Amino acid sequence: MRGVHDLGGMTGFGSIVREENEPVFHDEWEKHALAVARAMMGGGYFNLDEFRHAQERMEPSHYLESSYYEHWLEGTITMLVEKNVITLDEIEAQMPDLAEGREPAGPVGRQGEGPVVDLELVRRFYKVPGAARLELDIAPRFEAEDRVQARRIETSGHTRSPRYIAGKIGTVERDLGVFHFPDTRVSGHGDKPQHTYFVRFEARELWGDEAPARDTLIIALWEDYLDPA
Amino acid sequence: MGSEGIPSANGKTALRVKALESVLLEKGLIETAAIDELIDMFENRIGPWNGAKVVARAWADPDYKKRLLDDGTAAIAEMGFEVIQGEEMVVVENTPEVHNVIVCTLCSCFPWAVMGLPPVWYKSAPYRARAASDPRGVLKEFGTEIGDDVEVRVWDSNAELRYMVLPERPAATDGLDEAALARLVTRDSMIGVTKLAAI
Repeated sequence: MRGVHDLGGMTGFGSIVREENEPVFHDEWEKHALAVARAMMGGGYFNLDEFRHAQERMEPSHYLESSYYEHWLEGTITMLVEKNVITLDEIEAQMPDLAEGREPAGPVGRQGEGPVVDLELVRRFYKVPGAARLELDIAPRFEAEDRVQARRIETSGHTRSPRYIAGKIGTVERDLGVFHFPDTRVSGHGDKPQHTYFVRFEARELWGDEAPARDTLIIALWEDYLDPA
Repeated sequence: MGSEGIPSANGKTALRVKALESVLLEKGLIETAAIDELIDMFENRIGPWNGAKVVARAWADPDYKKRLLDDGTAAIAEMGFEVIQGEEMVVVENTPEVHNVIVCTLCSCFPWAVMGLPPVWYKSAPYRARAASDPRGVLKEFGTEIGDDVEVRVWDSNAELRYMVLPERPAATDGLDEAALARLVTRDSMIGVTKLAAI
């Protein structure tokens, strides 16, 4: 049970298309889609894990055919609707006027519970190095050089354990410290802070005997994704 | 608008973004100045020029290089950049024995702070699908051949760590200062899909 976003190891997508001198944005709306998403996340209206899950729940063919910034837009709308911040009707109601060229109006009155995402707030939230790590004293279950097996995670919810590692055996490279657990942050079962480790897999373990003997892949895995091997 | 006055797919998306922003502005939940600030950062303040300065300093200063490889977050923080999507940085060094390459198979995580927003190809299904399973094939598409005696090491950016490759310093650059060295560093070399050619 995995979404179409879990792309690692899939075949058939063809060659990689590159653009010479690619601009940062291809369209004005892309800037705004990204900025609104980041601003509302910064205001605490939804967290990054929930936001990723909202993108992952896009209809699969729409996900594959649409651009990165459309994923951001759809994820933001889904989140804000589900958190009762806006309704789809409110968005639809704006469209005809905006199509006629009206520019977005200013505030017509404060509505809603959350913080106002202003200049000071957005400046604050991207100035904190090391913000993802949690300074919690929790005993680690594994240490460097331990052999571990990636659990087979079957979920219709959110996980950051890609399916290509399911059941595969690797070696703990190092303990990265304690991080929130994305799966439970999205399922509503709390932050479940736990140790996260760099785990090294041989390419042949992941992709079969045709893979080059020397090649490896390293991925950061939360404790709940691992069993002792 | 399309030729019949009907919005194109892109036009409809543009309208939807504007409508979303308009609803949030009207509700007083967001201010235009906050959106403008973020756009200015995306366009003008984060970009691969930041990462290039880090790489050049590491090449020029062995003590800095050691700090950078030991604790990328702290060593990059010394440079004073914005830290959006660079909160936990891991810098991995390319050597004659190991060639590192970065991907995010589950979405498109990227170290914005040091490399700016990711290029379209990095976010595309072909790269996300194959960089993990066939990195040598992907590198060949970028014109990069890695010998059989070298380990190709893929880093999948699934967690809240962001990665930057420290490329090998090109030959014949001994006389260059940091500013000149930084000009040699490309975004793609810091993703690990290319190597820097000798000058």
